[in-house]
Amino acid sequence: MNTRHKTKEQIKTKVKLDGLTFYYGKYKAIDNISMEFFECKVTAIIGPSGCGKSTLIKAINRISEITNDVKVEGKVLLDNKNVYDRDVDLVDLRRRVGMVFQRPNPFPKSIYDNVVFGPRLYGVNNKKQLDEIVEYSLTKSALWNEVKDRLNHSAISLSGGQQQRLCIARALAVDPEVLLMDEPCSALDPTATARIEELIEDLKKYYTIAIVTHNMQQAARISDYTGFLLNGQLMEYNITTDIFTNPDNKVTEDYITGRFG
Amino acid sequence: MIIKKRKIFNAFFQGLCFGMAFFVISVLIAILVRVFFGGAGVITPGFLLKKPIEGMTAGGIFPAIFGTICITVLMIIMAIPAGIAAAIYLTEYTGKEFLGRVIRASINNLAGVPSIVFGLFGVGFFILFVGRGVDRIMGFSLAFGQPVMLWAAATLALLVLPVIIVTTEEALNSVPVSLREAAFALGATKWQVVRNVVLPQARSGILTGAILSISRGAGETAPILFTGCAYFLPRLPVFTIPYVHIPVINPLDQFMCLSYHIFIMATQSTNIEATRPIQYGTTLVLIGLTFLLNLSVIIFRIYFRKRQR
Repeated sequence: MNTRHKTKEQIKTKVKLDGLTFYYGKYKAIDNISMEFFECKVTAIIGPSGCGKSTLIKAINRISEITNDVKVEGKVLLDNKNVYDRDVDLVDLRRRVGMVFQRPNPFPKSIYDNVVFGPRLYGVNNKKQLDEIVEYSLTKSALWNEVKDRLNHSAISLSGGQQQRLCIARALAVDPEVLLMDEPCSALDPTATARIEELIEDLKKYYTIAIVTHNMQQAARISDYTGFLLNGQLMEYNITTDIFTNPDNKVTEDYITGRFG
Repeated sequence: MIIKKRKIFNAFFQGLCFGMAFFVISVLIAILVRVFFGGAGVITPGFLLKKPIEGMTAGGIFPAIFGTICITVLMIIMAIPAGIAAAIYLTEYTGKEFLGRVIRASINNLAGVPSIVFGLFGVGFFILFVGRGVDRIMGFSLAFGQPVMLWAAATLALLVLPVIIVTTEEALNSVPVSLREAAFALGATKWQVVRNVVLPQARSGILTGAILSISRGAGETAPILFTGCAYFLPRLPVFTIPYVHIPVINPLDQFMCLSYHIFIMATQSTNIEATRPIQYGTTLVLIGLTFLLNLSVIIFRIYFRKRQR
């Protein structure tokens, strides 16, 4: 109880979901969820497959609507501005809200070109500036020492874990404020997973991080807050230690102790 | 007993498939062998580099080779950008909406139109409507409003357009969604995604479309029959730029073409018997030329694939 009080004073809300309901066509994937993501904190979303975890974070940068027919009710507030307002520029929104996907998806280009892909979209073409961005982003994603001598090698030649860190670097290169991670370790081995987790621990100093994971130990290890989703509904949302040691909800307890899911 | 029957049927079906595949291949081999032995004898440097003489019963076929290369290249230059643009529109912008389905159905129907109909359409639309219209507006006596290489190439381009659109569409669709998502998530606009992610990935597939359309277009006769192909021309369709004296291909001239040359030698010549070896030789050259044009695109494709890595 004491910890909760202490953190509450220091923290600032970065993203706020306000009665968010999300449909794919006629299928309701998310049902009236309200929750907050705090600045410089890691918020984990856990829940069984198909409960809407990915949909929830993808609603923040509006990436689902590219490939799907979607309908949204409620609000997603980024710094108190609803991202579903008509005057929102999607390009600007996605620059501010970076994303790392489930499977590493580097472009079939060189390591260098992958990192500068975003900045180049915004018209940064100065070689020196791009070089700086590459070193800065790769250092932050803890990949610089491994690849600094082969920046012009193909990104496909990297290992899975390295590719995922490259994708993180690529997302960081456009200087986002929020980082969405959709099960970033699900395609990686334990060693690579451990490295990404360390990295997340480090990155939260600068970014608001929302991470979807099906691995409860992972959520317990790295997150400050945890939300438990079931069938598109937010069953419980609290400080991670509370969720894992003393859940309010019986269903949450059942899921965390492995009775289903 | 049932097991045995099943095995017999299996063997029968396998044999049937093999037989059909073998039949198809043997037809191809038969054509190639016949043409090769019939035509290889007449192919000499003179045959490839001189023009026909004595009512096509002697001399070479150079003007027809030249014309075929010109028209095929011109056709590709016109068809590829239009085809790629149409395919991008279909895959990236319309999807499965009503308009997209209408366009797709039109393209499939266009692919089924007989080539002679394209030829007649070329006369009616390109020569009489567009060409004469341009002449009237620009005040030319007769420049665009007649059968010339430009309109023949345009007609061929229409003919191969469905091939290019369909293969390009397939190539664009095969670009993984994850890469598109990655680009969109970085704040790319649709055009930036197409330009920087989708097109570079689809490049070799698009070139496959170009290869198929060369094979289709280079040997066509009917579409160019009325739109610019000539029975015989004493000179090449070349235009010399005044003062600097650089010869360039003149798309507003008539041209000779290998496919048409074969047709007239076999049907219109005064002495069909005497032209027979030349017919074989010309056919062999046409097949060889189509192969060479394809080869150049294939080399292009290998180059792109290497660069992608």
